[in-house]
Amino acid sequence: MAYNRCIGTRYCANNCPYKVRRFNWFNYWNDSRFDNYLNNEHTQLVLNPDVTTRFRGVMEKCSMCVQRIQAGKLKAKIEKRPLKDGEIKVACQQTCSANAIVFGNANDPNSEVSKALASERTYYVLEELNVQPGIGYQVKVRNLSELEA
Amino acid sequence: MSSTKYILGIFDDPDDLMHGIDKLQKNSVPIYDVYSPCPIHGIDAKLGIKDSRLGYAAFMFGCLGGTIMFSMVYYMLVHDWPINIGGKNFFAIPDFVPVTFEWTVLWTAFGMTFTFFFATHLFPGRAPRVMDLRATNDKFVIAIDAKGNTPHADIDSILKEAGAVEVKHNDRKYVSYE
Amino acid sequence: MSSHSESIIREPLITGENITYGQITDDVLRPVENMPGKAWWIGFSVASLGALLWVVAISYTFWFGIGAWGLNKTVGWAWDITGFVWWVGIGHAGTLISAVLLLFRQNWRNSINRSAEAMTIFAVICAATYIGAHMGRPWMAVYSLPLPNQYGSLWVNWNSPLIWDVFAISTYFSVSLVFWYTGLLPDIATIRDRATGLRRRIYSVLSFGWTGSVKTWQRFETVSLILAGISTPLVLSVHTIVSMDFATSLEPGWHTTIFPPYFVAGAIFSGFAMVQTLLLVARKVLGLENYITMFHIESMNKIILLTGSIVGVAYLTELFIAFYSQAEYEQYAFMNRISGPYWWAYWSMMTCNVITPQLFWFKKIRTNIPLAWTLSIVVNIGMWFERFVIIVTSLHRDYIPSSWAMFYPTWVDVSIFIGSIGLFFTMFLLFVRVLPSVAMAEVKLILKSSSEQAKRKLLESGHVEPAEAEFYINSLGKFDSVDQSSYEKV
Repeated sequence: MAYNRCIGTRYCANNCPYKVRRFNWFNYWNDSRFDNYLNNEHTQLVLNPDVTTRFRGVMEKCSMCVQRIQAGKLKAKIEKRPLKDGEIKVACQQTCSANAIVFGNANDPNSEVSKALASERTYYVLEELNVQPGIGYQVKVRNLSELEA
Repeated sequence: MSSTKYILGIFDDPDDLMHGIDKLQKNSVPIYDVYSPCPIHGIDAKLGIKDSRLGYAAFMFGCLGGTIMFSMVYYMLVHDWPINIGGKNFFAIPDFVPVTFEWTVLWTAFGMTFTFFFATHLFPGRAPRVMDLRATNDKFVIAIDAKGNTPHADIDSILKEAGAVEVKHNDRKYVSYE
Repeated sequence: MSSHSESIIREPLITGENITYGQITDDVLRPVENMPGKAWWIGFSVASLGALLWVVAISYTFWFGIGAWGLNKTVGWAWDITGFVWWVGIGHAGTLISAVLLLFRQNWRNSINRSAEAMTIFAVICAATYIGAHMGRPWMAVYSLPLPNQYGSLWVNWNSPLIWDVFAISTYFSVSLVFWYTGLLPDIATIRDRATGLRRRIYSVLSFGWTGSVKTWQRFETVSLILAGISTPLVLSVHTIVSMDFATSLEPGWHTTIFPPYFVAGAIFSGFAMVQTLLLVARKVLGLENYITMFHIESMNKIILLTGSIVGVAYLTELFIAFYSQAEYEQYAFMNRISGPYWWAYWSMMTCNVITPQLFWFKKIRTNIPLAWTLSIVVNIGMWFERFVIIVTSLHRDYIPSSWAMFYPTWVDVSIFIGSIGLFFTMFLLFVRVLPSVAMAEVKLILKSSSEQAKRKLLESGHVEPAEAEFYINSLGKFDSVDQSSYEKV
């Protein structure tokens, strides 16, 4: 997502079958009608300095913590080595207490995420639309009694 | 020597005008031009006016416009910065069709129209070369160069016989717009 | 050749007695050369208020953001794009009248094409305002153009229908403008040669020095024909491209190949209805009943009937295919349209667009002016609802139910729409004052062959078959500008 180029037609959001794209309807950081962290000198410290606040009229969605991806890639570049699997953790993955989220390079067949996506339990939401999303889910195994037997 | 530059035969009706042109041509009087408030079908052939080549110009401009757009899109999407958009082909020809078509039409229209303006000397601010002000309203005017061989009286009588409502002898070629 | 007589059984295109070339000029230029009457002032005041409302609502949106509208994360487009498609669709009739009817040698276009083309230009302007207004960051609109830049020259996405729209709408606007203006040159010259002082100087500049010589007319007709020839596929392509905004997406109810012909037919349908709305009033107020006759009115109503039927068939096809395909999302989309929270919009659309044009099968209704005017407004209301239904019902409930949401317009949405109508009428009323609303040169071209007086002369000369003469005289009954009883002795 190149925020700089977005002119805010909302066409991308209309076309998204998952409706995960969010539009910045107002200048939330600068509009007195909205309560936000930037308003207060203390709460503004909560905000992540690596993540820009978008201007009004710009579309956004989950960027897969692109700032962490870029930081990880930069670190690997400086150390003159390829990225290791599991080195970059997206924020939701890091905080998930159940370890339910796996993130990695789907192009690398040895990564944890590739192996997880290759499993029989994997499905994609609205798979029949063939949009080939980057996020796969896994079905819960229910017939445990047969498995134990 | 008469100071008349042009003799104008002024007609009310386009059929009378055509009749007038016939008579003048039979008497070998060269016609300078004919001015009318609306197009008259059949007059080009009668006066021996060649067909317009604007059609060819339009075609050339259209081909040029289409080629430019197609090349531009090819250069941008295939050569300069191909971007993986949803895993689609870089050289997606069906996607190039709408914009190529639009520019074909645009260049045809503008190219031909500007050629028309250029060839006919039409541009904003151009002083109008009009011989009689009523020629854009309700009168049909034949303009004959008075410096020709035929005596003016003969020309007058030919025009009157054909049905001209008025014959004018103008000292000035064009009406002054000052 | 139109300078010679045509068949007596063709209805006259110019009615009235003793219409001379000069009379045509005087009649058409009356609103241009004289002070406006009360009707014009009332219309202009109301329209200007509307335009002012538009300015206020657009400024509010521009200042505060798109959040001023009723849109949400699910319904990203509603009144904005409904308005855009509505206006672009209306514009298409003008080009159709000028271009397609010229190609088909339909001389009746000669008196209505000027106003219709002006309507197109103003409608496309209103549509373009919606494009600018709906953007989150309109000041960056130039990013939609493939200009070299410092992002490594990041180009535009040529695969996107929105870019096709940029080129299509801009081409359509400029080609329509060129076609309209080139056709105006001889008429502006007419005004120039009758004017004095500053008016003459202004019209002289605007006339480009037009002379009316033979070669100029020859080239003029060539240019008109070729522009007509390219404008026809242009009209078809522009609304096809607009329909692709929806057809190339995945949304249920949008992703269908019927959209291009459906949209084009719908555009012509609503456009002719708007032409009727404008001209039925204009001909009365400006005294142009002799040039815009019942033949013109009835012919336009027949086209409304034809295109309305195509639109009706398209609706029924959509419904059938949704059922026949057994595609669950498509099926739900239509069940939702019929019986969901926006059912009233869908049924308004069906009533206005499918049922009302079918009334034009009846000659009594086709030739009734007040009824035709009312129905033309009903058609345009229906077509607004059609675009609203397509856009909002497909977006508000699509694939994933947890995202389903309702859309409600805010005062800003409504004001921009009503304001755009005010803007349109302001421009049209100004046009009527400043430029001839009928193409004088083209009407003069058909005076000798297609006028009532020419046909009367033909009847009186006695060289006409009695059966044909009777047929002709009977057909004059529906004309409000012809006294049929004066033909009894002929």
